[in-house]
Amino acid sequence: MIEFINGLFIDLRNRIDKMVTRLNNLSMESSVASTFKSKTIDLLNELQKRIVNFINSGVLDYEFFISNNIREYNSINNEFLEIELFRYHPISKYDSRAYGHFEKVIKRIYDEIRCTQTIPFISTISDSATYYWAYPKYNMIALPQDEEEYLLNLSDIFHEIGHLIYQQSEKYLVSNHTGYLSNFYSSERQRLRDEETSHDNINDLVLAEKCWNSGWTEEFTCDLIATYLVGPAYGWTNMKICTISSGDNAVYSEEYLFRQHPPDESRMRVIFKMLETLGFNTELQEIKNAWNKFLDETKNTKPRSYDFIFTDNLIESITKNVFEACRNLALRSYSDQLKLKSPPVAQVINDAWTKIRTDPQGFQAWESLEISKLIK
Amino acid sequence: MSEISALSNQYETVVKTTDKFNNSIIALKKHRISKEKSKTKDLNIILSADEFKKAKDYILEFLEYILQIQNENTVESGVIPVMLIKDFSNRIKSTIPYIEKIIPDIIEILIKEGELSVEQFQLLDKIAATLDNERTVLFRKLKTARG
Repeated sequence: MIEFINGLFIDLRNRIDKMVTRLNNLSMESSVASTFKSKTIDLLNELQKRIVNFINSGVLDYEFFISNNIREYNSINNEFLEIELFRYHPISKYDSRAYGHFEKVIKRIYDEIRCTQTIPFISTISDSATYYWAYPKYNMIALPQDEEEYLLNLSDIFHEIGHLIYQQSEKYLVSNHTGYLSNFYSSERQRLRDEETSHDNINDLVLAEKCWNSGWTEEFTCDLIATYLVGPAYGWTNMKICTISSGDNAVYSEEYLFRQHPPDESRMRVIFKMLETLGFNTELQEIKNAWNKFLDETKNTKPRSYDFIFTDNLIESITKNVFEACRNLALRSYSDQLKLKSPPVAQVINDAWTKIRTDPQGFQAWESLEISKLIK
Repeated sequence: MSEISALSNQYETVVKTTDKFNNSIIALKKHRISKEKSKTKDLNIILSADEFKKAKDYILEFLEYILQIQNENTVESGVIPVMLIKDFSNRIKSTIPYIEKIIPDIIEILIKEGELSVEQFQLLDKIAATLDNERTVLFRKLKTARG
């Protein structure tokens, strides 16, 4: 067994070695891609050192440490897999047409929204089902393959940028709201006890508070940041996502309310609140009219306790906190971006949603032209 | 947008806890084995008093934490993500059904700076294995969420 585990460490060390060699042989055209590649090599070299140090510690030669050696091997191997999944694969599939397109788009966006963080690495290794996602630890965002040919989903890149901003500025964005939420739910639980309401509702509030603290707050915040930055288009893109989830009776997260993402309906309400705060009242009413019709037609069911959990005051509280934080972080809102000399990317996305609704037959040709203008 | 961001935060937390707990057990084992001179021929035991104390303190802290969550006292502490505490607690209970009786004995020995028995080290290793299990499950979810 000792020799077997020793062999696993040596094999892993060799794999890392070869991955570093393959990476060194890849040439990346842009500075963002090149930096991402260099950082990947650095991480792999650190992992190598960790293996060498562990082998040199001598614990691999003793039966007393077998269990711990297995744990350590798993830990290093998982880190290797993480680098492979989220760094090596995206780099290996680097396609200068697609990646290059988004390097230009993201740089424009960061300038227009006045975000001073390091520009993330954008990869198109995702697909339409898994959709857009961010891996803040590696400062990367993944989009579906061929996404460079479309505009309607692009407001969701602002949601993913929101995750990167959240990673650095969480306490500014939500600390007031978090305190408010805790106090509110505490008094609500007491009220329900006093009213001798079903214990299920009280338990649901306990679970809901855990969900807010472990994922919902971040997701709502990213929706709010996205709406702040890209305006009404974010509402339309969200409705597109809700259309898909309505097929599963999932607009209110029926069947499984206490999961990572908050329900689509509650997310739409925070989007509405931010649009109202920004003063986009005409556009807001248009989206609301469509949304109310949508809810009426899809007739998705609400889980028990839903109305206790997603109250208007909580929606207002998080919206206010995030809006003020975005101001303090000096992010340029959609309204302010419209005053820039050239139309910002956010405006092109809004125009896309107007076009698809008013001239769907002419949309495809218009979209191709606008995309070519985006990266000039 | 997928669940990757939330999952990656949880994963990081579990990785840190698992590694720290495992390294702390290694330190305690090195301390024990260093007293048996015949077994230390090649073992690089340069474990300072400070390193040993940090490892022991961390294990004490974690064992207290396990007792807390077994009593359903789920305080947000950054040790295990809140949404995973129940799952972890159930895994611990099913792996080590008598854990609430054994942990206080280990805590007492560590506080009094005594030596843990081989069986007690095996228990600590079982806890580390349960953490490792939690980490593996999370990583699988991360992989699946990525598509």
